[in-house]
Amino acid sequence: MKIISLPAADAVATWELGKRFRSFWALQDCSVTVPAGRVSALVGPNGAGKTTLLHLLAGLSAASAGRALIFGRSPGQDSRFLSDVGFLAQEVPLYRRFSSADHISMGQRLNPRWDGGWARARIRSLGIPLDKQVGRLSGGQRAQLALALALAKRPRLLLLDEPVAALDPLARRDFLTILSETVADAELTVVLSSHLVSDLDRVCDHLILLSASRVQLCGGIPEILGSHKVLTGPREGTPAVSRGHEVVNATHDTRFATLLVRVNGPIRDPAWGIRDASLEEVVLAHMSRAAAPLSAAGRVR
Amino acid sequence: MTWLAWRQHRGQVAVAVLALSALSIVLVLSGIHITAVYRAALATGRPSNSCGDLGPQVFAGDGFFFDIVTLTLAAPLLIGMFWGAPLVAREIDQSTHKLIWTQTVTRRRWLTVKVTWAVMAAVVWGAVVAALVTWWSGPENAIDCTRFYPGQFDVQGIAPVGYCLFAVTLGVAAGTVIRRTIPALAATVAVFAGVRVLITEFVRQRFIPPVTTALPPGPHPSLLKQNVWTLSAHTLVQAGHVVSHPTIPRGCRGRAHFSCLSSAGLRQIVTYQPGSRYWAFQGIEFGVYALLSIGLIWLSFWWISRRDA
Repeated sequence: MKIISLPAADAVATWELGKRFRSFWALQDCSVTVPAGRVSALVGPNGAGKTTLLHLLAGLSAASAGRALIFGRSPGQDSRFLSDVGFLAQEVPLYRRFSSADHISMGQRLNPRWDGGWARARIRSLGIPLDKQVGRLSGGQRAQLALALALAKRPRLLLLDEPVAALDPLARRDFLTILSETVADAELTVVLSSHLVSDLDRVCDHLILLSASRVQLCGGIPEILGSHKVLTGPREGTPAVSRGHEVVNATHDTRFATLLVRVNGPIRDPAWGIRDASLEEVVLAHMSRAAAPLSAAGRVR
Repeated sequence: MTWLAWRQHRGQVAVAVLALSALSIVLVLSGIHITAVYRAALATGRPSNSCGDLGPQVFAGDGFFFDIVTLTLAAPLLIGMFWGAPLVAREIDQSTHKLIWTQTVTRRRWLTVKVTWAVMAAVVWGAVVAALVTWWSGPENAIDCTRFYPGQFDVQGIAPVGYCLFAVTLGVAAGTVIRRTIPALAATVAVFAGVRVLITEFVRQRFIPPVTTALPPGPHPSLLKQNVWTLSAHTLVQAGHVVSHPTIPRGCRGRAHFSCLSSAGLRQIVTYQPGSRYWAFQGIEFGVYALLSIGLIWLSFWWISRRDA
């Protein structure tokens, strides 16, 4: 393995990371970086490898190929790494027989930077009884408790697997607000996964797009939006565009074409109308290209 | 971690304490009764250590308590099933391993604390049950002289502590490898029963080579009184040759045929373990199961550090 020198600013850096389950590669050739202080949206369809990547980063599973560094440290069984990384699994795991207060006491005993006072205040402000068994709380209350526990650990990197899936729209907005406040207060980097980017584009400033076990996009959201344009113009002009730029997705009707393009420099042809792409358009275009890799547009990388 | 282990398993501790209390009450009360009857029977002038002839008189109506004592054969299995097997498997079943393994505690440390408490619980459980049964069996041991035989040997002394250690570590290992509670529970029962039967039936009698001697045919009360474990007493020899189908000589029909056979020169080959080896066998049996337990603990740690969550 080659020696890798890592800028201290990267919270997460992976090189050709891969995970194989028997003969199936759940994640392949995954090279991403998340600079410290970013909130990164990890998006992709079901089965794209999001959970696999988060498990690798959290040290819950071992890589089959490549490597990952979290603040310059390999995920593993040492307390420096474990105290730096917070993880909330998709299943929202909690001890059913424990109360919220028990979970907070548990965190106190197992973590060096635990903020139990904050967690108690947060649970109280949500109206969740501290002494009620977790098994009797509602799904949304359990998700709120699990998120509060993940934040109370005061990690430097927080990995959240579908954290808002169990929340109603109001609780979702509330949680994302808390998350962005915490990121602003503490030096926190977050990677949170979701099916869809529409949940997340308010708080996220970084994007990792996984599809078909591979990374399709990785970078700051402003940079991604800056490099993608939607072009509308004559159908027969498409080949000319794809010579100079990367056509991610094309829809044609009888006369006109709508192209989502990753641009390399300015587009001067006056035949094309140009507008900015929304993040959702960019994400969907890359996802559908990855889902149909043999289509005409899919050959262009 | 200790706080967590206690908080998670205090329910199991409470159930175990309740079960032990119930067993203690039954065995202590019936034991006091049996001891009193035994003392009274001795006081009427019959010899102690009579090996057999006092039994029907002293133990009349106590069949229920003998059944309970026999049932303590399964006591180690209970701790393996309800404490050992779910120790890791239940966490994985409910995904809480992903919660606990991402706190600032390594898997090794987590397992160390959980296994330490489980092992201590198993030792206490095994020791209390074995101590109760050993005390309770005092009159039975004195009258029947069968404490070295499979069945009695397995519920008295220190062997049951070894079985408890084995059961709980077997449960932990099965849960760690299989990762699901119910299949781990089933595997614990199957492997525990298999190993116990195998060692009891085929291995234990070879711990120390048995003693073989030729005796006149018939019962040997003096040998029985030494608490021997008779392995075989079937072969008859006459003048150094094995008699495969001894036909009773014509003059020996009737009640006194054993003495008649012996005066005809027939001898019985008796293979047995002397009663003086009882504690050596208890120690070896305990050691065998303790070694198996150490192996299973090692397997659990090896597996949990290598496998993905």
